[in-house]
Amino acid sequence: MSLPGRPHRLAPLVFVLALTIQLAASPPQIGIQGAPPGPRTGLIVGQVVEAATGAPVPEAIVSLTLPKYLQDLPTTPKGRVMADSEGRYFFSDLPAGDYYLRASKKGYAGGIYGQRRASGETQLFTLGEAERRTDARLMLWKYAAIGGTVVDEVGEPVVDVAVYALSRDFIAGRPRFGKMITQPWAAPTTTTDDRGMFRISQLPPGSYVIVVPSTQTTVPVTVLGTYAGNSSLLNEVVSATMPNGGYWRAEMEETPLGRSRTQQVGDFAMLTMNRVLIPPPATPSGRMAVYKTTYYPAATTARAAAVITVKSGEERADVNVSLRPVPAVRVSGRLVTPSGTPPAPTSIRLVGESATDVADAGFETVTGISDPSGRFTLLGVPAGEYVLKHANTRLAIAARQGLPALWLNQRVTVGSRDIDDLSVELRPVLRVEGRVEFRGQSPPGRASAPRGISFEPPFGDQSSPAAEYIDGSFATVATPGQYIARPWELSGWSVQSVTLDGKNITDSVIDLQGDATSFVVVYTDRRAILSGTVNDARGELSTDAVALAFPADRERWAGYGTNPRTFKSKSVSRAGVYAFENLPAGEYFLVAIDGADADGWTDPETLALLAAWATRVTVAAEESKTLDLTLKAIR
Amino acid sequence: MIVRPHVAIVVAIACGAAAAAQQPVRDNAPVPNGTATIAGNILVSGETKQPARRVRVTLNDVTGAIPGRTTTTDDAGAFAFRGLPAGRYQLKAIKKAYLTASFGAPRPERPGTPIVVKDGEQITDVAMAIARGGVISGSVRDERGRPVPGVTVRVLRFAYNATTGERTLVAPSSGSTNTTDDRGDYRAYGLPPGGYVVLANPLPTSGRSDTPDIRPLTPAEVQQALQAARTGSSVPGAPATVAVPTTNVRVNYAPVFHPGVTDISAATPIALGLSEERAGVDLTIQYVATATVSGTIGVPDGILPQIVRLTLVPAGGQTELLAGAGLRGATAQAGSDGSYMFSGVAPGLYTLKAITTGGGRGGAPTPPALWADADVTVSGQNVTAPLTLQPGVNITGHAVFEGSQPAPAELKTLSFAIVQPGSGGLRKTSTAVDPEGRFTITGVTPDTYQFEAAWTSPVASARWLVKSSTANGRDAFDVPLRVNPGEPLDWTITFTDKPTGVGGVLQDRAGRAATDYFILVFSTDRRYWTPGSRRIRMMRPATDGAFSAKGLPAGDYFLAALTDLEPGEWNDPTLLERIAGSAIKVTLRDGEMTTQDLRIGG
Repeated sequence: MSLPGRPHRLAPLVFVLALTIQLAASPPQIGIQGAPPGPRTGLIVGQVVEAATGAPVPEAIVSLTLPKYLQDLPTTPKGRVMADSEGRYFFSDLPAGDYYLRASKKGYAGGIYGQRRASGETQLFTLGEAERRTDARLMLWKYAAIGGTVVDEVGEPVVDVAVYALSRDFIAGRPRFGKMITQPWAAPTTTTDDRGMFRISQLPPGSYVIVVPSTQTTVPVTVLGTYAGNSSLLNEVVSATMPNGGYWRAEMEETPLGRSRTQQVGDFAMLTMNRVLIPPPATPSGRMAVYKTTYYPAATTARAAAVITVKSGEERADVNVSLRPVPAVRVSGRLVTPSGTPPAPTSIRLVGESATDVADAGFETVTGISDPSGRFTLLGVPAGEYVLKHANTRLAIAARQGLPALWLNQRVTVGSRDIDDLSVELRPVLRVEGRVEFRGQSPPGRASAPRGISFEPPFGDQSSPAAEYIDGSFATVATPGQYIARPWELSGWSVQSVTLDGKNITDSVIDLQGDATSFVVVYTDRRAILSGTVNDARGELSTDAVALAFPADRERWAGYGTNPRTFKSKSVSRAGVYAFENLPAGEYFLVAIDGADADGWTDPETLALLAAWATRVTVAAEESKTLDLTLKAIR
Repeated sequence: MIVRPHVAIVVAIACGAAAAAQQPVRDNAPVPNGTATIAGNILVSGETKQPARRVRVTLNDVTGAIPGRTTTTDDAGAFAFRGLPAGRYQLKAIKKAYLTASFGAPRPERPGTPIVVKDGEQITDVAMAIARGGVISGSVRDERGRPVPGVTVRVLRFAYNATTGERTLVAPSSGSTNTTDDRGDYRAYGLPPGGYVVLANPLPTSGRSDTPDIRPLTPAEVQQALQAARTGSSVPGAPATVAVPTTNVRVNYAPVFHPGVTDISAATPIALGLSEERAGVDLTIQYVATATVSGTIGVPDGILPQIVRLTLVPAGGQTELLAGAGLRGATAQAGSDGSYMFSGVAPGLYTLKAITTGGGRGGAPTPPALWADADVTVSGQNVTAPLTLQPGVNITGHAVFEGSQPAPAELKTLSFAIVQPGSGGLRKTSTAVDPEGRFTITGVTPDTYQFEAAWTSPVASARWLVKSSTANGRDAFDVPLRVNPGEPLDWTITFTDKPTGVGGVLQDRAGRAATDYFILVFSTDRRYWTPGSRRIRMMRPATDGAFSAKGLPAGDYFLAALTDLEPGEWNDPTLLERIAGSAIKVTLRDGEMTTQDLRIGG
């Protein structure tokens, strides 16, 4: 989640995975005091329709807010009405302003004004003083549904196991599954019933892979039941067991962990939390077998899975998954810190192929926790190539609290034999620090949104360290690797440059292998705007278009991080006008297409297609330009 | 469905008293290893004799001193626990969509009998069967018959509350709460036989009072708005009066019970048999006219120094059933001016309660809590309900130990609470117990409460038994206690590790261990035949016929054996009255374990 301040399910994770598209599910929460000026004589009348057919949606709930003003004030207009049997609604006695309008109905996605796709860009509805508008059309997309059955190797239904639908999208030029998620609980999900049947019925139209995740968790017996009151140990236990199901919290608080174990080898017990596949019992000699994470129809990686594309309202009921156990071994070892002492009990995870192109937390193969002497055992590891990682993502918080912030990232090859004495070295994190300058007429006023900077992996496949600006500087920690420094966008300002040790690294990939403490971020209030109108084939202003801008240089169509400044999409206004703010200097392709066709436009193959229709434009630093476009039909 | 238990005639075969030997036990003991084995097979109930695969089998020592173990059955339904120390073990078989079975239980969901194993003993023929749970399925539709997706449906079973002994509604399995799919369908599985109601709740389950209500628009209103838009001026600044009527009607969905009623007493109960599948249990959800309940909170001196939290709970005698169904009412917080508001309140009878928390700004001590309550009737019209706060009651407590003293770490696992009968087990807990055993419960709203002590450590819980519990000289042990306005309570709880109790062996007519019985010990004094009484105890004999109950207050008791009992049914005075006649009388002396062997006679 790239948007700081969004509610997190857990304690705030400072290492975050950024998104390319902001989720526009709720209106901005911050507003100004005071009452909107002007007479309250405006009127908005509109209709809620189904996007695919244009048919009215009866009795949808429509809500209206004026996000510029504090919502709680009685003087701020707001309302919640039920549309009539023809989907028609109105709000009266309104002052002029930019309104947030949203229709909602169970079983439908979208509904926010301005959306031309179910998860597309939204707009505010501008109402002039005493204006009476009758064109506030809100579109809903009926959810699609994907269903099937999960059975095991003898055809017995697998009951109460989690099934996820991961949307396929393109991040930084590569396919990625479940882009909106850092943890699988945020993806559309359901559980199988007593017949092994599932039906994921809240899918916005799009392309999906279906997956039955399987993670084995091993905890030392000495840790079971002892965590009450020990918050740091509880954190580690939570980190290790969290991927195992949405109900970890209830499970942790209400029953001692020990009750949910399935197998025990020596001083280590394998847990069976909610919604987890129960493996076959170990043989008397201790040989184990486990179920691997399985993608429909029988793939072990998301990329090898069958992609299911569903349209609004479509249903697929034949997505059957058959699970087979594979032999597994035990991986044991010891964690050591740079000083040679064992770390406090630490959560660890083995991330294998099942997590490739997917969130690695939640799709790892095995998780566990070390004991006070640093020893760990992971039960139920199938053969394969893995990376052993620290499961606790709160490195930055630890560093800020002065605690030793250590990381690990070690390749492990597992074959058909137990691994008994893996030595794993934890390393200190890198310090990432710098300062920020605002060059403008006056410094930015009181913050209306958080200000800070993220460090994005070029392909968005790792978590992003992030920090807020405090008194003109920022500090966070990172593990070694490649990053793009990405200052957060700030209304009224644009990023002029980012330098490290005096070298300009704006929008470029840097390879961090040591502490980097001399970043300088410069914002300027001189804004560059590239704008124009979009006309359709008949020469009339288009109101359904989306304008797209992307680099003309094909070399830059991949590896640009998760929130690139050089890839922009913008819905045209009611007047058929688009505007891009703060495109960095360079050569771009500009093209306008129907908003409904814009899903997945950053796929490099689609970009090649769009380039053929696009207009090439050169943008100089801090230059404003006008360029009118003609709508292209790409279907 | 209640199966009437058969009372077995028992005869006393020996009489005597012996002080029980105390077994020293401690927490976090290393996993003890032994030489005994308990192994066997699990089948699926029914005629097919099909093996039950992937069943989680749990093994727990009845004293809690030996850490539990778990294994899973193989494809032949076989399981084995090896290397066990001698002991008495409870065995359970757990599988999703099936009913949990305990070894020796006459039917699913009943307590089992412990397996007694000696050092080196190899028990390899344990046979158990698990039955498929029942299924209730159906769909949720709106008033026009259209499916409604995304509605939470809870299938709830009538059962006895384990704590309070009251009849309430419980969620019977993890598969019993569902969200309807795009077809409006739900399916609850893994259900034990019994009486059920089905609840559909289209509202967010958070129970917050800020769920905004909705103003429904009529086609006529929309027509007028359109008319106004077309005829009115669109020139900015021009005078414009839009003649659009605004009604005060507000609606929202209300939780409904099958087949489509908001009142639980009008719900159609479903009697589900063992492994029965019941389809077509449909619900129609409906909008109801909602109202606000608002008012101002007054205090004697006119100052509102603290945070005031309010709850609006459905009343009318069904409170505990609704609480069991998760309908605990709405909560709100009063503003700094003492005003409060609940919006979107459905028609019905409610109890409005206010209680203060916090305060004591700038390091000042927390002022005593204040409370107020009122009954409110809502029927679509907005209601104003002013409240005046009164001081709450503080309870100061002291835990006293007889015999040895608990270790400080052990004492930390002790807590106290008061539970309101009829609240579905909602409790108000004490502050942490200090090293001297002292604690407080502040700001108690005057009412009747059951007083409780609990240890989180199972070992401490098994060792320390409550001997007596009094508050201001009144008994707070066996009967709920009235907390009166303006009367602070001094609560003393005495624990002992010298238990008073009864134990023995149950034999059949041939003198063999009899295991297929439920043994009930209960006071001869009918005043103690109340839900949650400490003087009523159910026991199951182990495989060697041995049974015991510790922690009973000294006095005269009846001892009886029955063929079957529903959990909690032993609190039912009519049942106790029925079996008292054929029971054996025993006298329990303070600090002694009385031995009373029984033989099935008659």
